Amino acid sequence: MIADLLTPFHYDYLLKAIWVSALVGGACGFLSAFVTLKGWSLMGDALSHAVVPGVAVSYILGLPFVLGAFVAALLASGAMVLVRARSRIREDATIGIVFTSFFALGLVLISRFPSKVDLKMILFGNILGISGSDVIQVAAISALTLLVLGLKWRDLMLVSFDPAQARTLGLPAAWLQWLLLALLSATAVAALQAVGACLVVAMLVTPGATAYLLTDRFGRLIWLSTAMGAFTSWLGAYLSYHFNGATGGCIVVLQTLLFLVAFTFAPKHGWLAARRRVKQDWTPPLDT
Amino acid sequence: MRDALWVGMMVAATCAMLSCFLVLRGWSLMGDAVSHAVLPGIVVAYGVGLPLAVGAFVAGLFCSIATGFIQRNSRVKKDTVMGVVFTGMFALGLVMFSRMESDLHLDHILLGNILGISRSQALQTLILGAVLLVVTWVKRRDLLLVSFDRGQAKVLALPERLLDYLLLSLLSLAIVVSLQAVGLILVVAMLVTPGSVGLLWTDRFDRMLLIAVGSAVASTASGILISYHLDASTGGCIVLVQALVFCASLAFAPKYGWLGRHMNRRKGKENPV
Amino acid sequence: MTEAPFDLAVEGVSVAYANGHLALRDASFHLSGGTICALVGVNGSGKSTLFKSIMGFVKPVSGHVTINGAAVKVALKRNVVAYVPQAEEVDWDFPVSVADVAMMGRYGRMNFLRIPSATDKTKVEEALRRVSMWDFRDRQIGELSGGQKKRVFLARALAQEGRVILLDEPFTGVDVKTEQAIIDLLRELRAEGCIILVSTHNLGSVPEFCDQVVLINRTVLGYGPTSEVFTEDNLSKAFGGALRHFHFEHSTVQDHDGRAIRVLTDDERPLVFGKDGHLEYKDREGREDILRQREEET
Repeated sequence: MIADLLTPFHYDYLLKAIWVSALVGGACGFLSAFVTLKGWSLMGDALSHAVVPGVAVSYILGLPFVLGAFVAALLASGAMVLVRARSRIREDATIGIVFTSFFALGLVLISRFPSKVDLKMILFGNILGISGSDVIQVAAISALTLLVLGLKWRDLMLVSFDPAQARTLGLPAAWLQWLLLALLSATAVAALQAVGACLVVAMLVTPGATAYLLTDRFGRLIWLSTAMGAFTSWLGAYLSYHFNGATGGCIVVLQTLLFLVAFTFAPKHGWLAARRRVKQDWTPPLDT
Repeated sequence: MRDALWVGMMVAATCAMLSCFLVLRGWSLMGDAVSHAVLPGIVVAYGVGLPLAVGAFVAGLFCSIATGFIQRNSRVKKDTVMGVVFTGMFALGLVMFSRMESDLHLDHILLGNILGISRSQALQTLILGAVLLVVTWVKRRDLLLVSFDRGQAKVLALPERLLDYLLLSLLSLAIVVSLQAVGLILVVAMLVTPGSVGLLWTDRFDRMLLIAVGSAVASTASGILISYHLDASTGGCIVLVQALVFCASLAFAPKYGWLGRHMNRRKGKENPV
Repeated sequence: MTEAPFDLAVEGVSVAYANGHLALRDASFHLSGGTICALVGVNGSGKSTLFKSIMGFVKPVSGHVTINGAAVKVALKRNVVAYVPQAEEVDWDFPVSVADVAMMGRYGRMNFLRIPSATDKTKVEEALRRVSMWDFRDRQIGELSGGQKKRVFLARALAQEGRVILLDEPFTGVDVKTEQAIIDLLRELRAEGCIILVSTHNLGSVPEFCDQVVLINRTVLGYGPTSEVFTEDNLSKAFGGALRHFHFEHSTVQDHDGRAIRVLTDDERPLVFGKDGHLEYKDREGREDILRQREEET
């Protein structure tokens, strides 16, 4: 039994994959603090689907997948901005249309070149089985994202919270917005390898949402969500060895469980706490 | 092949009609969420031996109810809650699937397999789709009022909660129906694009419905034909054709397209009021 | 239109937010038609919460609202409650026309399929004509001016034949002419016996057209006829420090100016108090006593 549980640790490549997914989880967790703050869930979902044609083209042409994915993500964001600015279609519908179109394009490409691209890998991720060079790309992106976020998180927070104030302080607000979007695309690409296109959005939303229920301080929120992202990804990747390789599924189920626990029991913003408060709390009117 | 065409067109019409409501309500993410959330329902239904549609329907409805409950009782934004819930359910579906011995094809659920549809499945889809179409058309005025002005619906003592659930149920069923055609990842395109096309062409709701349905049916039929000749993913082709129709509308729609706006501006300059 | 006068009673109503905090505690007041009653309070004082509980949108944790002795739910079924939303709450890009919106007032009286009958159509036409919007019936609602938009929603309340009409900030984004037209219409409705409840932070217009006032700040601080309740003392209680005071010294009000004060403002009408009450009355009917008093003083 114990030997069974320890099996993954005996294989070097598995061990490496587990740590890499923890790194990806940490980067996504860090970013999820911003995604939650800005209400960008749909954006995260959209970008993770929109990179698919880029990944497909890269594999077909034999380029590093990061390159294609990044170009696709930029094109998609550009298309969204363009359609949004020049039509009466709501933002959410615009995002929906653009990302499904991109994803559809990716599907058509893949179905035309089935031997070059592994569709399963794109849909569900396969961190335990990806090639060495891909692992390096994923690790590099995540490390870079973490580094940039670690250095610039205060600026990014200010821009997310109050762009006007950021501008008056002389910060390049527009650039920082794009930086955030670029980081989002980058992590979406990395997470694509770990959990697959369908579940990337969970990595970019759930840790931040969970932390948001637990604290009111942004600094602490970042710590919590990064730690939760890294831990769940580590544990999920390890567990998935026993679950037939459904790495993404395991990681995201763990994250959702944490969220539900926080939702129910969080000391201040939890459901139980609110129910207790109904009876007690009352601020007297001003005239007394 | 002919079955596939009929089924595709029926699915397109059903989704297109619902898409008008989703687009107007800003429920695109809801469409996305419910479509992913049906996965655990399908897996469980398969395991227990129930019709897959039943499982999918229950799971889809559960997703929207859970989202509503968590949102009402916490400070997390609605879109975030939805993201958490639907990915959680989808992940659960994947994990359950990985532990199950089955000849269920995950690809077919996710990406659709309309060309391989069986006679009986086609018949089921056609009947269910027709029912959905009729119900949506008949209750369109109530659904519109709830989307437009909830307050008024409440003040008139219309069962607005019930109407919400009606729309959600229709949505879940439409997703179930379209799984076969485009798969659950691309359903959201069927549920967003046609309504947006309609909104670009007209200011009247009934006309918007008809335009949405017309454009969706036409692009689905041509998408299926194209995919057959190119030997490419059917769902992908359908959605791409729809996207092209949307782009064309964006450019050429008389009042809200770029060209139309440009002309209006020119006209405004020539004879300023 | 002579029906028995309507009666609205709010008794001991407390409402809680989702996070458990109370938005409104133990609010009580009574109104009977016809009346135009202003609901006055700062932002966050519970104005909209009170509105919502009268419309049955939120369920009080204690207390109850009754309309003609019946619970709100029953009253809503009879379609007697109508409301005019704030402009910001409406999505003006919606593909509906002016006539469509007015027709929405009739939905409660239609059959299951909501196919309008001849009566429905005449009622809608009457209502639109009454607010002079019939000529715009085929316009998409986003193509109207602020005042026209307001009138369309007012027409919906008319078409519905509501007897308790709730208006949320009816004068924001509305030009002075439309404001007067709306006030005239409200007076007609009052004469017909309706209860009209207006939520507003536009204090200056209150004494002009409201005969009753409910002051709230997370509970009902007071209610009754405007002349008794809408006083400087009560207002400072209701608003605390949130009101801006302009104090005119004796030197400002000189005899050689004819003892006249001119106050110019842009949007909101200021409320001006004199020695024994409001100085500024456009609606001077029923205020002869104050006028006479002022005459005598000069």
